[in-house]
Formats: sequence, structure tokens, C-alpha cells
Amino acid sequence: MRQKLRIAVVGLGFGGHFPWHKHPHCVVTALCDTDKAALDRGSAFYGCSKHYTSYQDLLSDPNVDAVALFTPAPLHASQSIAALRAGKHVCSAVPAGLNLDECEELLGTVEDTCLTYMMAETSYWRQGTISARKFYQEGEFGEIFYCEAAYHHAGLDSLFWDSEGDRTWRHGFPPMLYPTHCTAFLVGVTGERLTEVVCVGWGDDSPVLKENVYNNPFWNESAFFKTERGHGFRVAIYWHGAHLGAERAEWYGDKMSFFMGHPNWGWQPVIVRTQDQTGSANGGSAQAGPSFEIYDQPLWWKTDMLPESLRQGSEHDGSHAFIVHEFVDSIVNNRKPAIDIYEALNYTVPGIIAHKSALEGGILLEIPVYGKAR
Amino acid sequence: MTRCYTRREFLRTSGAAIAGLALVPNIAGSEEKRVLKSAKKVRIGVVGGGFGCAFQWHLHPNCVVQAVSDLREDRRKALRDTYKCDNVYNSLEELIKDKDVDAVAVFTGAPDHVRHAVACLKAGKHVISAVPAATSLEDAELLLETVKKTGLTYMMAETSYYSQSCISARKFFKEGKFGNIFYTEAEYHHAGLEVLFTNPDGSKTWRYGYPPMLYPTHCTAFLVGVTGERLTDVMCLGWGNDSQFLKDNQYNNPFWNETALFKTDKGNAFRVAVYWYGAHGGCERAQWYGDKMSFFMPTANGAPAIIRRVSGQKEKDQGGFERQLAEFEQYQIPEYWKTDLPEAMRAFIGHDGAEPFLTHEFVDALVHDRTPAIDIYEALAYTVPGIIAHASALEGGKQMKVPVYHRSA
Repeated sequence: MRQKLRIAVVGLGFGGHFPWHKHPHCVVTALCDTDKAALDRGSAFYGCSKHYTSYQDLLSDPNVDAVALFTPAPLHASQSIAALRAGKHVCSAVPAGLNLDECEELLGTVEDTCLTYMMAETSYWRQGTISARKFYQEGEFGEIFYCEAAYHHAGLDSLFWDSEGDRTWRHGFPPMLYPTHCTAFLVGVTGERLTEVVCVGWGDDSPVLKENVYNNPFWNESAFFKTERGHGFRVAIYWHGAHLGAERAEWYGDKMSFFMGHPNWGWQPVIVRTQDQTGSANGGSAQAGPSFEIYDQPLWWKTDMLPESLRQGSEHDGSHAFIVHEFVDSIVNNRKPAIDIYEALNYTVPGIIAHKSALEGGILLEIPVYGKAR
Repeated sequence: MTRCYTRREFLRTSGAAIAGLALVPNIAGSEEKRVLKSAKKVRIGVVGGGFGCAFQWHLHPNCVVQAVSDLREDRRKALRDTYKCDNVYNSLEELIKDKDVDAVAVFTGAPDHVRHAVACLKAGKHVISAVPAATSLEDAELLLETVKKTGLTYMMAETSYYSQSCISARKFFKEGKFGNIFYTEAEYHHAGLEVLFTNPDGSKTWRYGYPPMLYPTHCTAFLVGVTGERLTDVMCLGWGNDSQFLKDNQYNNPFWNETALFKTDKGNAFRVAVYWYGAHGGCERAQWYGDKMSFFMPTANGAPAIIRRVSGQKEKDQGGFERQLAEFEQYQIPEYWKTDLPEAMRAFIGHDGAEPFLTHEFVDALVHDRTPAIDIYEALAYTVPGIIAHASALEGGKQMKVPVYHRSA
């Protein structure tokens, strides 16, 4: 075991709550934010007093091995590229990038530098997703022929402006440019790639949609993807409307289906299984009625999937501790992280293309695919 | 004993009855209670002793079952017993020669609907047809032309339109409660139909290998029958396995399950899932997402009917981000069948209470010489999107335009 990974946390809003300092092989060596108050809060959480207000200065610090980038979405790709060029490993908040050009430049940079890039997608590590991945690996689903995922987050409007009344990056942000909370539920479970999409957007006459830096007219976008295996995947990302917040999915298999808890009905996850099939006169099989079971969701973060010091509940359904561990562990053991640059782009780029489809009135578009299915 | 009218007398009388009245435009979704004061009787012939037995023709105050028919003896008996009608024919072709039959309820196999409906119309009979209206575009056009040419009444008996939840949704829509419905999803999940794939003699029934999206109306009714909008574009994906049913069926259909995303003429999205196979509970249901209110029908997994409304309340998500806490209501679906039907019809059969409403709507439309809620244009607006969806699935999910049908102004 070599020395500990020395990480710098950049962006101490959302980045202020990841247990990097509790990982046995990681130490927080620096914090970076343009907001002094955020830096102070970060110090209190991470016990680290080395502060930077300039990202460039941070990148020249030779005592930083890696950056954990939790800055606004439009900065992710360029800041990741800058860090990689400065020789730092990168753990980036979602999405990886906002357009194809910067995504591909990011990919090229990761390939050139041979450093570790990981995208910090929380949905991949939700307790229900970990279960779904295990079910999939054990063949329990049979074949998943359809999946649907939803990221519903109405009421973000208060974050559209900062304390000084200036617009933040969230003002008018296109829903499908934030696709990874949904795409992770399929790409991160079966490994299949999304190859085609039709997406339909909806907006009203809100001033937020009339004038924003993205020229985005939509509050809500609903997409239907085809996967490389010919399966259907519905993704719904809604910022506005009459629905409760949710980041969830349902997987429909021919042997088993798994429904993550729904906000309308107590958040209880449900498993439906086909019962024993009987042969019929024509050599086909007849299905008996299915069985229903309320799934007793294991708390994977309490298990040996994590080092003992990280076995604590964390945000986004226990996912933050997994993100910390996966990034640190992959670098320390010189292996690929679960959400490497290829996976990251296969989560991110389908949304970029979906948004384009919506802007063009819902036409079908092809999606570039990165790397091989796992 | 009510006097029997001949067909000519019936038509003449009903024409006279409405002569002095302004014609009430029949927008999709009018569930106003109609007080039946007319003594007129529609004399109906019921064909198809399977699902055809689920209706209450004999109980409707303005209807009498004049004749019944099926190709199979056991089903002829079922019809005779259900409707207490001894005027039994061995085929639809024979039944429509009966001059005392005003209208025919066609509850035959799906691929026969157009052939049978057209034969009835050409014989001068009004038609109520089981779903779907047609299974090909050519058939759909032929049916439309025949209805237009004959000027007779055609109605499609889509149960979802009158499911008690759908009646609620239609009321909410008309009252503007949803705001804008920007996304709807509907599903018809019915695994385990394999027992109906063969006749007692071992021959294949029409259901053997039947393409899911050629049975779309249980789903499409939930949007087209609520908001009246038309489906204009579709991308559909099919899934099948190596089952024998998918290898040697008359439809060359390789799919058990088909999932489609439609775009509507208002630019909204509509996801339809018709599944014959897999791990899911049977259901015919929908959920409507609005910017003011959303409505979720009960699920096969045990959730009841739920309404969400936009509220000013906030909560924090697990990441610490603020979000809206939408109002929650567990909705008690009213039992419209107990109030909105002639007294003799107030029975709950199946399909969420739809059957007596279909019976009543058809009879009432004939008696009052008005257009039924699901006339030929609505019927095709429910049916044809599925035909195109299946074509899309057969071509690997290619996006396709859907022909649109509107009642001409």
C-alpha cells in the first residue's frame, strides 16, 4: 500500500458533504471555492485549512494528486480537462459535459494522460440500484426488455439566482443536459448503450424559459431511447409540474421486474416474479399469474462493500460514501473506476442528443456510443 | 309490453324526435346524465358469445335483443342464455338478413371486425364493434368510407374510455384541473393469455401470436379519449423470445411486448406499453402528468388512485436541495355506474365498470340520433396509432408519422 491519495475538494456547496476524509486511503489536502464562507464550512467538515480561491493556483499545488470537482455543470468538462493536463486524477460531479465537443475533448484528454477520471453519479450507488445490478448479474430478471427512469425535481427555482440576485447556471438549464441520474439506472445496471432517441420537451411562458443562456424553452423533457440490444428505455426529467421529487427506476424483465419505491405510495420497492410456467399443447409456455413481494431493501452501505470507517448513511440514498470509496480505491489499486470516462459519456451524451431531438420537435436521432458494453 | 318498431319506423320516429332540437355537439367526454323518456327500442343483434355476453342490451330500457349469433354452438348457447333470446343464427351473415335487426353488436375476433362491420353497414345495420376498429390501414380506410357512405351509426366499444378512473380524468380535464397535461403513460399488461391461443379442437384462435400494438385502444383511449388530442408521430420497440407462438403465427409477428412513445398534435408525449408476457401484474391503466395536477390510476403493484397537486410547500431532498412538496390525495374513484346510467343498467361487470356505459352510449346515440362518444373518427384515432406503432417496431423502432382522423366540421 502506497501513501494516501491526496485529494482537493473543489466546490464546497454540494462538494461539502462527501466523506473523503474518512476513507482510510485518502486525505483532504486542499479546498477550493470562490466563496470564502463555503471554504470555512468546508474546513469545519473536512478538517483541512489549506484554501484556494483560484482553481488555477490549486492545480499547480504539487501536493494534490486528485481533484473532486463539484462546481457548476457548465464548468465540469473544462475544469476536468485542466486538472488532467495538470497531472491530477479527476472525480467530477455530473454531468461530464454539456455538448459533444467538450465531451470528446475530455475523452481525448483522459486517453492522452492515462489518469483516472470518474464521474460521481449518485444513482449508480443508490441502494436500489446496487440491488438491481446484483439481480442483473445473477440473471434474476431474465431479459430486461423495458426500463423507465425518472428524475423529478420541481421547486429548484430558488437556486436559479444567487444571494446577490445574479443568475446561477441552473437558470433555464435544459432537463436532458442533466440526464445521468436516470441513464445510470439502465447503463449502470446492464451496461448496454443507448443508440437512438426521440425526445419531447414541454415548457410554458415562464420568463426563465424565454431568456436563458442555453436558449432552452423546456421545463420538462420525456425521452424514449433504444438500446444497442433493441430494448426500450423511457427517461423523464421534469423541473416543473404536479409531482413529488424522485430519482427512481423500474426494470421490466421476462422473469422478474423490480420497481424502486414510488413517492406516491410509501417508497416501498416491489418485486414481481412470474410463477412456474407450464408447457402447453403448442410447445410454447403459458404464464401463471405473477407473485408480488415488497422488497426488503438491504442497506449496502452497512456492509463490507465499504471500508468500516465509511459505513455511515450518506446523501443521495447512501451513494456518497460509495463514490468516495470507488474513486479512492480505483486509484490506489490502479484499476478502472466503475464510472470511467466511457461510462460517463454513455450516461451523459444520450441526454445531449435527446435535448437536440426535443429542440427539433421530437425527431429520432442517433447517439454516438463510447467503448464496449460491459 | 312495448311495441316493436320496424327499422324504418324506428329511424323515422327517432328522426322526428330530434327534428325540433338543436343538435348538441358531442365532444369526447360528455357523460351528462340523459333522461330517457323515449319509448323507442333499438333491436340489436349480438354476434360473438365470448366478450359479447358481457353487455346489458336486454336490460336497457330502449333496447331489445332481437337476435344472437356465433359460429360455435357453446357460444350460441351462452348468448341465448344471457340475453334470453331464442332468435339464434349460425353466422353473422345470416343474422344481418333479418329485417327486424336495427343494429349489430360485433364481438367477433379482432381480424374480422372490419369485414363484419362493413357487412352489417351494407345491410343497413348500425354497428357497435369490439376493439380494435381495424388491424390494417387499408381496413381502417374501408371502414371509414363505408360508414360515411351509409350514414349509419358506428361506435367502437372501447372499455378504457368508460373505466371509472377515465371518466374522472375526463371530468378533471374539462374542468381545467390538470393545467397542461404534458406527459401521459398508459399500459395494458395482460400476461397469461396463452390459454386462449387455441380452440378446444386445437386450432389456432386469432389471439395466437397477435401483435400487441394491434390492440392499442385500451391505452390510447386514456389520452385521446380524455383530451381529444391526436397522436401524430411514433417510435415503437418490440420484444420477443424464441417462443413457438412468435414463429408460426398468421401475423408474422415476432413480439410479445411493444413499447411506444407517441407525440401528439399538441406537442405532448404519450408512452404506451402493451405487454402479453413478462413479470408484471395485469392492468389497464394510465397516469396523467399536468403542470397543475397529476392523476395516477391504481397500479397492479397495489398503489391506490392518487392525485398530486402543485403546492407552495417545500422539502429538502437527500442531497440537501430544496424541492416542491406536491400535495397528496388518495383519490376515491366515484362509482359513476351507480348514478350515471339508467336504473336497470346499474351493474358492475368488469373493465372498471365500463360495459354498461358502452351499452347505454350506443343505444342512447341511436335513440337520440346523435354521434356516439367513440364514433368512427375517434375509433380510428385510437386504433391507427397502434397499427403504425407496430410497423415502427417491425422496422426496428423507426420513427413514423401517424395518419390523423377528425370528424369533419
